[in-house]
Amino acid sequence: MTPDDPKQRLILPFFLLTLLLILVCAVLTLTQGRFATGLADLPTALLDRAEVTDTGFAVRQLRLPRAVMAVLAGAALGVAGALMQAITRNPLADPGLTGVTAGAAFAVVLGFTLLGVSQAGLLVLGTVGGALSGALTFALAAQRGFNPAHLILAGVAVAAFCLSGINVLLLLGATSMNSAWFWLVGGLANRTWQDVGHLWPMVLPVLVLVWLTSRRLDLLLLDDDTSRGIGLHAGRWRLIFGLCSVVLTAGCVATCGPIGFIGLLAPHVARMGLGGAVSHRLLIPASALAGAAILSVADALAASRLIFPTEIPTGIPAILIGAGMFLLLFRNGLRVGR
Amino acid sequence: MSGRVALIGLSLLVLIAFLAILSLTLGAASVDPFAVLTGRGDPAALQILWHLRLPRLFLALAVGANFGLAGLIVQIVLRNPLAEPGVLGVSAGASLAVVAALLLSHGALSVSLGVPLVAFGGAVAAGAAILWLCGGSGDPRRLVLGGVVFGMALNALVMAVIVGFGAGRAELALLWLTGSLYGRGYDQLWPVLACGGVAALLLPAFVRPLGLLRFGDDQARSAGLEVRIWRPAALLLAMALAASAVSAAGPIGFVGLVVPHFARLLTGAAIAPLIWVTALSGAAVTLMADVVGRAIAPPLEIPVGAVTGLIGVPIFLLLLQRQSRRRA
Repeated sequence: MTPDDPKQRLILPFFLLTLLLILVCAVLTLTQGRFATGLADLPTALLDRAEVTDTGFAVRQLRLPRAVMAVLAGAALGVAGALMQAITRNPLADPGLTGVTAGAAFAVVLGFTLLGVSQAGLLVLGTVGGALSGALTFALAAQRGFNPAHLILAGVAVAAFCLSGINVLLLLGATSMNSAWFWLVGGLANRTWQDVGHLWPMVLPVLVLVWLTSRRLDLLLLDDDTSRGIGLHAGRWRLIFGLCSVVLTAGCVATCGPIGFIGLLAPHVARMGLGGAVSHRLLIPASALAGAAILSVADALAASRLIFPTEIPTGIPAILIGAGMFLLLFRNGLRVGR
Repeated sequence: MSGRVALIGLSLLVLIAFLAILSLTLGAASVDPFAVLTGRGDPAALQILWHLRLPRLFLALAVGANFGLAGLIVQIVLRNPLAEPGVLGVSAGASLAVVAALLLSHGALSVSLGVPLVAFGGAVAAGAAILWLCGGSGDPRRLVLGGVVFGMALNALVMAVIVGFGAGRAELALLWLTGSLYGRGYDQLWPVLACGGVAALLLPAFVRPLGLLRFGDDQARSAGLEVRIWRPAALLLAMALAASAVSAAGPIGFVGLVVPHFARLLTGAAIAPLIWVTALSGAAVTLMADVVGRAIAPPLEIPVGAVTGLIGVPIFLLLLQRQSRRRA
């Protein structure tokens, strides 16, 4: 890659633009709400811990963790999608479309309705559920050599199974249907520093690990004979990266609920922003930033009461933005399959 | 071969007859259908049998047959054993239309006539939009991907409407979304029967095109089939079948996905027997799910959609394993 390469020139603008978008959304999230906060009051509300005011409490304890969660979860989902797409060599793979999200959601619902496990237990349970359902999807898809349409239909079938399981659990459990549905859409409202404390130890180490080993992801895109020739254990690394993707997804599901489409979209947005296919050393952080930016925008929209009379769960604008952009990509000739 | 198919058809009919008797007998009030038929029952039993259980029985059969056939056509035309009528967006479209109409009309919508009409409209609109957007005559894979994503977006809108406008009246909408035969009568039965009847008249013409489309566009074209006409036509037929079923019973899952596999296991791949066995098995499975849902914990009912989900999971996995072993 020479310095004149258009890709090289696009890197800085892309990273700056996404960071700026995240920042703007964070400011929007921090200033909106019942205790309206002016832009000028924001620094005092954020920094002045000595003074106990309603505004200060709302900003520091309610809105700031929410903004942080949006960035953390968005980054995790974006990278989870990029990993899924690399290990399946399929531009349409993502934790949602491969049934991982629904499996994790089923496990989490099982945890809090019947088993009554703690928040930390939900993280473990969600990971196990996501891994199992993901394995099931891949076992089904393997019959057709991971043909993209087949992979998605297998994922949809597995997700439908998990959803009917969730339905039954909710019928059995005493949880009110309304609040359960609110959770099932995925949302960031009412998240506290405690949730952030649960999410970051799961997400950040995995993100760093993936970034450090991202060379291997490039090699996985080669055909299996070539990568064997270089001495790469393709199967082993697929498994490792697949597990990383499951852990990232499960962490998000257990803390924010199943938020769809960000994993599918973030890598494509990243590639588009960087001007084409790039190495994973670059694609991984770019996907993380793109995911964080999309989720931040979705959350700012959800909190803003712009479209609906009440505050809506973050998952709804997220999936609408996601589906809209996807159909756009799709019409403009997203390559289906290899 | 035809003797075998006749035997299968006959045993399915016997199964359906057995389930039908159960369906007429079981429920919150125990009714002896034979006593009623021979004129020995009391008027209340006659009322229950004639106005509640009989239409519900036929509705279960018709809905099941329509879903099963729609699934079979979709799987053949899209050449994918994991496709189901939901790929055409009918369930999601009907859900959005019904939920929006229920919650925004402030109770003005009549449940017996208005809801099925609105559902049918939503289903057809969504299906038509998907066929148009993703090219019903083009690459089946595009249709699958576009359909799945479009369906997810519609379902997100359903959630948005429930959360945004539900405020205390969400239960009705949620009940509809599970897929249930509760409280359905003759009003809902006739449209489903009409769609099924028209399809039954049209299907003989589709036997050859379906048999050719299964092998891919080039093969079908070289055999002289107008793929650009027959593929959208077959998908439209599947859409109408699924839309009529959804409009009467709500989005019942898994019947359209599982039943064609079951039928294929019974009869093999020849299209004509497959069609009839699929219709009969779909009817039997749906009726069974309805009976089971009513029998487990009377007077409470488990919605038929939840039961098909529970039964569907293990059966589906078993069938897939069987098929892959057979192919290997």
